[in-house]
Order: sequence, then C-alpha cells, then structure tokens
Amino acid sequence: MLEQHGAEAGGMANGRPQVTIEHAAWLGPSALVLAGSLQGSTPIVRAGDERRHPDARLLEVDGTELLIFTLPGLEQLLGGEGVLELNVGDAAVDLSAKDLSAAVTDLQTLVRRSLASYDPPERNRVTEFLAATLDSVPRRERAALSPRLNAAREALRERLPACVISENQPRGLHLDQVLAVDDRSFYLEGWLHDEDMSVTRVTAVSPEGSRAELLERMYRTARPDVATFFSSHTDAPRTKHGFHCFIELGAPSLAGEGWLLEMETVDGDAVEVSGPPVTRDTIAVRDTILRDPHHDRLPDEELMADHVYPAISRIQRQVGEGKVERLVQFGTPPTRADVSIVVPVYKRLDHLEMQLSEFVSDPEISQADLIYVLDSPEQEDEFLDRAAQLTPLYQVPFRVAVLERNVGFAGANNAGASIAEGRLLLLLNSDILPDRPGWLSRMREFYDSVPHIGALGVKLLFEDDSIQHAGMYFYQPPGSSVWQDAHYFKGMHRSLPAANVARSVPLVSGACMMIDRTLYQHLGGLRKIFVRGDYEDSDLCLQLTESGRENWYLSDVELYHLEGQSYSATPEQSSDRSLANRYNMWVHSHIWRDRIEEIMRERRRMDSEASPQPAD
Amino acid sequence: MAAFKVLYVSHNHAAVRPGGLEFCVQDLYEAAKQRGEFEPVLLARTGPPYAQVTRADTSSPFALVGADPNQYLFYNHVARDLSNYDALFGRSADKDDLTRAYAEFLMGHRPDIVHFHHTLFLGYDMLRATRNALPDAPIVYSLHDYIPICHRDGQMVRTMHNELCDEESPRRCHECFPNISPQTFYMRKRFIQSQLELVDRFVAPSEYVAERYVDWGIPSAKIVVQPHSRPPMETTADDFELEDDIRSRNRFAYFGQLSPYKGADVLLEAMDLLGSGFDGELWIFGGNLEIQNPVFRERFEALLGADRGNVKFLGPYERGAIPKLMARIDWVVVPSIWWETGPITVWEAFQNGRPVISSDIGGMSEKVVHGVNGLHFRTGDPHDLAKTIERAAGTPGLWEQLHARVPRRPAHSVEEDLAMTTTIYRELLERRDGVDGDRRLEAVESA
Repeated sequence: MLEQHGAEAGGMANGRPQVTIEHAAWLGPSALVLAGSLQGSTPIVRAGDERRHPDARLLEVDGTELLIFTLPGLEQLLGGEGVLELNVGDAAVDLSAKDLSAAVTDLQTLVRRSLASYDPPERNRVTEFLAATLDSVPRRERAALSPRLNAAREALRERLPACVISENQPRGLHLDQVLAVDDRSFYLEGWLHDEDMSVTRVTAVSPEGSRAELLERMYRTARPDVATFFSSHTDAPRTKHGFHCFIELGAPSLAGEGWLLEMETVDGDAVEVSGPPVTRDTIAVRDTILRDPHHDRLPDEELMADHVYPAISRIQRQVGEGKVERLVQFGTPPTRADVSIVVPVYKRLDHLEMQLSEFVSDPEISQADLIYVLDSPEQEDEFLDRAAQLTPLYQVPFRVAVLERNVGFAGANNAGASIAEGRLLLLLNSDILPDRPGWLSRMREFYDSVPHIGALGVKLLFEDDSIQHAGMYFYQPPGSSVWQDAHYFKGMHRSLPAANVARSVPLVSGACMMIDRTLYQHLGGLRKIFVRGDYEDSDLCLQLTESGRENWYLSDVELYHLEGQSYSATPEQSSDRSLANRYNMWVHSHIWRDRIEEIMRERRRMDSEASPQPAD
Repeated sequence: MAAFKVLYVSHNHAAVRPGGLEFCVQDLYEAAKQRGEFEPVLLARTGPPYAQVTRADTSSPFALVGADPNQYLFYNHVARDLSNYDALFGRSADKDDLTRAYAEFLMGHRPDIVHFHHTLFLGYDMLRATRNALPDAPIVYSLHDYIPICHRDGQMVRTMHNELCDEESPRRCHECFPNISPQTFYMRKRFIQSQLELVDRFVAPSEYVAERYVDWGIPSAKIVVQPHSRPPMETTADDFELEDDIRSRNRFAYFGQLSPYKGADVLLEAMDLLGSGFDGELWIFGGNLEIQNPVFRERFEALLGADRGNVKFLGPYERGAIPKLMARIDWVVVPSIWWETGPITVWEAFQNGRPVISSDIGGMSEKVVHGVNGLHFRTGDPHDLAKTIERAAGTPGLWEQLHARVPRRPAHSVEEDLAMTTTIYRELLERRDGVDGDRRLEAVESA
C-alpha cells in the first residue's frame, strides 16, 4: 500500500476527473517529475501574463502515471510567482507552490514508493523514461542529474546474480571497454562464451538506465585468449568469442562508471556483469576503435559499416572547423600576391627553417602569400619565437596562423585557405623542399593555361631522386572490395620518360596541390571525415571530377617530399597511422566506389586505345 | 696603411684551448698583421666544450683576447648552453646572436672579406648573416675536415667496424645512424649546402679533401687547394742529435691526440703482435685521453697498461719541445684510421728529418710518399703495421735513405701561405669591383 499524502487539486467540481499527485521530485532546477493519477494532463507554467509550455513527457505504468516536464529555471519560477497549471482536456487545475511542496520528496523515495512493486520490465521502462530527461534539461544541469538517475536505476532495477567466470561454466560474459563516442553513442568491447548456444539476450545498461540490445548487433571477433581459457570444455576453438558493438542509446549517458551487461538464456536464467569505467578521451577512443579492423587482413564490411564507421565519423564530426586564433605577420608582406601558399605545421617546427633557407633563394616565394598554419597550438610560443628569430636571417615574409586547437590536416588547410588572399591556393606540406627556383610561377602559368582544370600536382621526389608522386590512380588489391590510392611510377628514377609528360590524372597528392581558391572554398575545402590526414586530397579530387573538372600532373616542376618526416616515427605512432589508413581507405571507397569504378574503366579504355595493337 | 680588411672567423681561439687548427689560424693572423698588406681581425667563438663561460649573460657578447684591439672572443648562445647547438644540422635555434650581435660586429668593423676557418658551434647560418650584413663582401671558407659531409665528427669513418667511407648518401648516413632517417640526412645536406652556397671561395688543405667536396656538390671552380703552412722551426732535431749517437734506427714514436680516429690503439696492437722479442721501442707522446668516449678510453688504457717492456707512454708534450723529442726517436708513426685533411704531425716529423710510417689514405698518403720519405701500411691493420715497423727497424740503411729525401721545409711557410691567401683575396676583390660590379663568381667564371 502506498502512503497517500499527495496534494489533491481541483476537487470534484463540475464532475471533472480528479488529478491526484502522490509524489513529486525535482530532477534538477529545471525538471520536475510527478507521479500519481494525472489523467494524461499537460502542464503549463503561468508567470504574470505569460503562459509557458514546458517540455513534457508522460508515461503510464500499470495505473500510475509519471509526468516529467522541463523548463529552464522551473524551480525558481514555481518558488516565486509562478503557478503550475495541469490541463486535462478543456479543464485546468492550478497547483500552487504550497500544494506542490506537500508532495515533493527525493527521486529515490518517489520511485521506491510509487514504482518499486512493479515487474522488472515495467521498472526498466521507468528507468529509461527517467534517463531521457538528460535530453531536455539545460546542458549545465546534466552533470548533476546523471548521479540522481543512477541512484533511481539502482532503486528500480532487478538485481541479477553476478556472472561467474570459470572454465567449467558453459557461459561467460565480460565487458572490456566502454568507449564514449559522444553523449549517447558508445562502442563496447568484450567477450561472450556461449557453449550450448542458449543465450537469447545480451543487454547493455547505462549508469542512468538506458538500455541497448547487443546480441543481434554485435560483431564477433576471435579472442584466442578466451578460447584457450575455455578450451578444455569446448570442441570449437575457432569460436569467435570477442565482440565489438557500436550502440546508440535513447538518452545521453554522462556517468564515468556504472555500466552493466545482462545476459539471459533460453531457460530464463539471467546474470549480470559490471563494466569498466568509461573511456572518454577522444583520441584514446578513436585509436582503440581504429585498432579493431586490424584483426582481419582486409576491412570487414559489416564491422566497418555497422560499428567502426558510425563511431569514427561521429568522432570526426566533433573535431570541427579550425578557427584561427592568432595571425602574426613576419617580415614585410608582398603588395599583391597572386598565390597563397598554405603550409600546415604539426609538431615539426624545424621544418620552418628548412623551407625558409631554401625559399630565400627564390624571389617568387617572397612575392607569394606564404601562410604557416600551426596545428599544434600548444607550441605557439616556441613557433612564434622561432619565426621571429628566422625572419631577420632569411628575410622571406610569411604569416603564422595559430589555430585555436588541433584539427588535423584537413582543418588546418581549410583554416589557412580561409585567410588566404591569393587568387590561387597552393597546399604545401612542410616537408617539401624545391629542387630549383622558379617552380611556383611555372605551376601558376600551367594552371592558368588549362581550361577546366581542377587540382594541379607536380613531380615529388624522394631524397634518392626516385619518384614519390607523379599523379595517382585507384587500385583494388586482389580479394579486396576496397579501392586504394596508388602512385604512378613510385620509386622509379625522376628521369623516367613516362613520368616526364604533363597529363590529366585521376588525382594528385595534397602534399603539393594548386587549386583556384574560389573553387576550393566553393567545395568546402578538404573534408574532415578522414583520420589524421589521408585521402582528403583524393576526396577533393573526386569532387572536382564530379563537378566536371580535370586534375592534372605537371612533370617539369620537381620538388623533394621528405615523406614521413612530418610525423615522428615511433613504432607505436606509425602503427596508429596504418590503422587510420585502413579506416580512411574504407570510408573513401565506401563514398566513392561507383565514381572510382567509372573513372578506372575510362582510364583502361584510354590506355588500351593508346597502346599499339598486337600484330597478327 | 692596409689596403683592405679581412675578418677571420673561427670556432675556438688558441689562447683558450690550443689545437693544430687554432695554431694555423693564429699564425696566419700574426703573419698578416706583421706584413701589413691587409688588416686582419680575428673573431673566435668561445665557451663549452673548450672553455667554461665566465662572463655574465648581461655583458657584451664580445670580449678582447688581450691587448690586441683586433682579436675578439665571441660568446654566442651556444656559449651559454651547449645544448642550444644542433650538432646534426650545424645551427642553433636562436638567431639573434647572428642577426643582431654578429651583424653589429660586422657593421662596426666593415671587413672587405670574411674568411671562415670553422663554423663549428657557430652554425652554417652565420654565412647567411654575413651575406645579409655585407652583401658585397666575398666569403672565403676553409675546409679543415669533413663535418659538413659527415655527421660522425666529420671523419668519414663508418660507425660499423670503423670502415672507411668515401661516399656519403642519405641512405649510407642512415646506415651509420639508424635513429636518424635518410630524409633527415637529406635535409641536413640541403640545409648546409643552402648556406655554403653563399661562399665565394673554398680553401682545401689537400687535393683529396677538394675531391671529396666536389663529389659532395661544391663546384670545383670554387675550390682552391692550399696545404696547411707550418711556421719554420728555429731549432730542429738536428740541433739535438748527439755526434756519437750511432745506434740502430729502431725507435718509433707517436705524437698527437689519443682519440679513436688517430689510431694509437692500432699501433699498440701492432706492438703486441711484434712481442717482447722485438728489437725496437715505441714512445707515445699524447694527451686528451680524458675527453674521449669511455669505451675507447677504457680499451686504450687497458692496451697501455699491458706490460710489454718496449712501449713507453710519455704523456702530453709542449709544441716547443718537439725538436728535442724528435731527436730522441727515429720514425714517426701516423696511424690515423680516418682520412686526415692536412696532418700536422707529418710536417712536424719532416721538419725534423724524421721519415713517417703512415696509413695509406687521404691527406697522409698525399704527403708521405711510400719508399721515398716514409712507408705506408694498410689503414687500421695492426698486422701490416707490425710488418712495416719490423721492416723499418730491420733493414739496414733504409732509415738513412728515406731520411735523406724527407722534405725539410713544409710545402710552404706561413708567409707563403699568407701570400697565396692574399692572392685569393685580391682576386675576389677585383671581381667584386669589376666593371659589371657582379660579385657572383659563377657569372664571371662562366663568362
């Protein structure tokens, strides 16, 4: 029996249905929950002449109604002159602050008294209903709400026996990682042992009580360690015990710990396991997820499309645009620059002197709008100091744009382009050194001479005079559904006649790419859907092709590209890079597959027409 | 009155820490001052590792060496902290000691020519600072070693097994230093060359050095070969020879630094091979063992410590004592495992009438002619050295024969060196002041 000490409002006048509030509880300064017999009422808050409609949700559980409504500053309003009006059909009843205070209790008491006697599935519905409040309260109130919701979940949930992990057990479940992708998306990793295939349900429960079903969605991977552990009791060592699963909850989850997994069998036996603390560091989350596709030789379509891609693309979206926080001019700027050279700098500050000590002997560079974009803003002081030291020595004018935060290769180039003044844009890596002066005007003249040109690339060389870049095409490795970028004539000597012809190519490298600035900005620049600077150039070239432009390779401009110098090459970092590469390759292929296939068909047709026919 | 002014720039001053190169520069400076054909100014960088800095940071970056108003010490950023110097690229991150202090020094003295003897711990970019401050002043650069080419202390000896190296490339340098990528070595080369491009004349102490630099990318037209000069010795070993010193010519000596590249360890190994029955002695004069790397030091001390009976270790020596010491020995052994540019010990031996047993490479084999004024052995090979020593000690009349053909005068004296250098200066100044006013030599030379 629930104790009746609620406020009765409105009485029985005019045969109106009676609204009975058994309990009320504040979920925060802006959210109130009412429990009782509410007749499906809609709340309105009146303050003076103003009538305000709070965001309201109603749930009925076996006769008890729950009404949650949120309005910024609700508690303050109702504590002052505000009056709460509950509308049922055409009728309305008023609740004063005094009426309300008689019913107000804390959330845990409310759920225990009003709801604890219901069946577990009903209680789970209530928990999820409460958790959704995180969506409607002002952001600043969410952190305080989260532990209240967790306490309510604890009060309402059915406690299951803990899952015992033992080699003698036919079943086992473990949650290794809870990776926060954003507020409501999570990436879970763990393992599931189900010897007799009797498991019918695996559910993840957030600390606030949101639930997500995993069993049908999870991607299974091999876990040799788990397989070995259970090997004495199973004949199937090839069973894939591991799982990865991207989930999107019905409501945000902010708590740092308190995740649960529930497992139920066909016989109705259920157990639960607690999860580890949530990993929220974006880089750690991203790198852990990127490591997953690496278990297989080639990216698995299901893993990528259903789990990795939804997670990583959400993370990339959070990276956002690079905002130029500080712009500093060094030396005397040229009066009117036709070309803006945008050079992103990440960590390797020493490249600045490398380029300036070469640019000093080419007067054309001093006539250009040279912009160094610092994408590792924590190095601002050091970089600006270096720039100041180098300016009197090399006397090449340039600007330094310090970004508000690290945004990666695409974001840094776009930020540089946003402040560029030249008619043409040259995207240039910081590890590129010219072979001889005069290259910039040659590129400009060529760009201006080709109608419908999109992006222009040039010959890039390794330090041993072999070719690093002479234009690029697409390639599909045997057995793979994924298209990759491939370089024409890579590793061959710079004098190779075939590489010494200017021609249109499917794509050119973003390490040194000239493009009309208006065109670049019209397309929105480089897209930030790729991780750590890769495939953006290809993506841009494909967009250019799509819009009817042609990308060109110019052979008589030669620059050294000391590739691999932009990144410090600890084994860990280079392996992370290769993980990102695998992801980028898949995304790129996922987006552009049809277009790429069309381009490569056309190339093959052109090539076969160009090559001499075999004699009879 | 002197017709023009020349600034000598060096990495160290003989008064701070003496060394062969420092003496060369000092001798040249003194001779120029004496002769008065041009006015020399000497600017020598100081600080670690040669000297502790004793000046407060707030005081002037320059100090006078002594009473001479034209000899300066330069306390650059690296003088305060050696870690400011990027030894791989030969530069430091802070440039204002070059673009401000050094530039002011140049504007104050306004030399017509700047002659660099070394840019170690100064930075190659000092050339750029010179060109910026004095756009018309020709720049001369003396090549005393291979530091611009080779990161291994400029020795061109590979890190694996001390194999001699006569061909650099980013790939090969990376093989010597696996932690430094080929791309970084390429950048190093590009950086150094971008600075050396500003030099109008290089002076190499031997043909061999000149060839290496031409291979590396310096236009041969820009290099002149001019062996190191030696000041005349007022006394030589001849003055200390005893009339009655009729002995077998079986005393061998080593003079010089005890560094891993100088090969004194090879010489000791050769003595081990010869054994205690060998009828002859080895006297070792040398120092600076304490500043060598610990691995070499320990190995060398162990070699020295062995009881052979016929090896004497006599420690460091004064430059002035050389004739007297040379009189007591017969042969000078120069067993360097690196190429040497212009080994001074060879000249000192020759000036004192001592035939030289030397490694058969580089600057040594260019001066020591096998069978004429000395003997060669296979570089780094203690067996061949032992055989050569045995032959030298055991062949009657060989010493006298070689001794008679030792060139007692160096290729040229300091005065001749100065005259040759002055010729280079005059030629550069004439071109600077030429009709077309173009100081760029390439343009003149290709015309």
